[in-house]
Amino acid sequence: MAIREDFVRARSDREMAARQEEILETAEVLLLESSDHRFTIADLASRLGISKSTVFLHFRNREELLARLYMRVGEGFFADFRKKLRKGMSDQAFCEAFVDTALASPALMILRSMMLNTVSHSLSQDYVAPAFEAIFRTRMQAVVDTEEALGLEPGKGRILIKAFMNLMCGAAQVNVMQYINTEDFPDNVAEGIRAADIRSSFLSGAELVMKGART
Amino acid sequence: MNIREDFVRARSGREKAARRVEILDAAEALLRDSGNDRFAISTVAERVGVSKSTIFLYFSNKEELLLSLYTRATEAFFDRFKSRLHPGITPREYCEAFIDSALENPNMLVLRTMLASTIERAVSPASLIAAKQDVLHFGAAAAYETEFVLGLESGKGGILLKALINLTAGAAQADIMPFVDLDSVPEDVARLIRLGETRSSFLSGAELVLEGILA
Repeated sequence: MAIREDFVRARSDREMAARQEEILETAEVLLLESSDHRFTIADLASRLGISKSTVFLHFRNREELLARLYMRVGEGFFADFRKKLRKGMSDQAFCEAFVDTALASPALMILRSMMLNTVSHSLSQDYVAPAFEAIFRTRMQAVVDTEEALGLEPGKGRILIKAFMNLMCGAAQVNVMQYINTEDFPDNVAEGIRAADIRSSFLSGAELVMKGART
Repeated sequence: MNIREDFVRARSGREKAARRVEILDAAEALLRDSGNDRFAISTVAERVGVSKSTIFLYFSNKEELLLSLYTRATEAFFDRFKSRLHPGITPREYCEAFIDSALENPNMLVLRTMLASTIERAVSPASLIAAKQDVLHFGAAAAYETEFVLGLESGKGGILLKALINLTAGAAQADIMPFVDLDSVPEDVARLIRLGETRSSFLSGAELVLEGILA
């Protein structure tokens, strides 16, 4: 195993942060590459050209790494989404901005679905709090921008964003179209599978949520 | 491993169906007790009192078994949900009937988190088609009942149910509460975690969805 001195020797906070950033970036690439979204710390270390124990200098365990990656991807998602918001934009444009940003951040939906099954079982208490605070802060900024862009009364933005995130991730779970060919399937089944496409499935629900938020 | 002759020797369609149900019952209990991380065919076999290879006479791989479980859990969910519907039900009661029926079938939600990404892509086309047809059928029956009790025009029941199931699945996926000791995290973080509780998270979004469909 090659040892990269720059990882082991990182001493200043800035150096440490830069190394962590590089580890997280690589972890995201591995997550998206593997068909079952599983990767080990050993895979990650070998991709980075560092030893496993160097990864553990920065993250105590795989769960902490995944929690940090989730935070990072979530922050990126909300930052990109906020850039697409414009005061006076149509409800339809708002819904599309949300779903298109999410589809451009596939790691977000993958990680969110992993949180419950993998991360939370062994989430040690001292990084539960920072993770939740970070996610909450980022989401609140998007909520404020949403209320302003859509002219919603205070409080509705939070409910709207939460419902959108749930709709989005619920829809992503059943999107089997990307994995299979439905050519020889009976028409009703093929149509049911097509209708479960993430974008159209999300938009049909989001339209109802928006209408509800307007009444 | 003791061999249960009744499993290996099952020859008539009726005998085989009964063995299949017995395997599914054991698998369902195992999933409920230990979650999908530790779900293994060998443990199912142990619980039934047969060898692994006997299980494979009935289900050609683990995913085929999980898909059958998902279909069964979905049917149980819709049965429970429909039994709670009655003419004159309020939108709030309707939403509560939905979420309570879902929470009473946790295996449906657990299996849905890996439905497309793990299960459906690993089963035979024939199994996938049969499962999709069953689920479409259960959904259509519930959509019909929904249109009747809420006085919706034809077609809207399906759109409503799809939005609600996506909301439920997205909310359940992010519900960290069962895994965190709320007394050991700061009060504001505990409050955030409580906000992510499946039932209340679902209901806040579902209220908008119902307003949207009834508007």
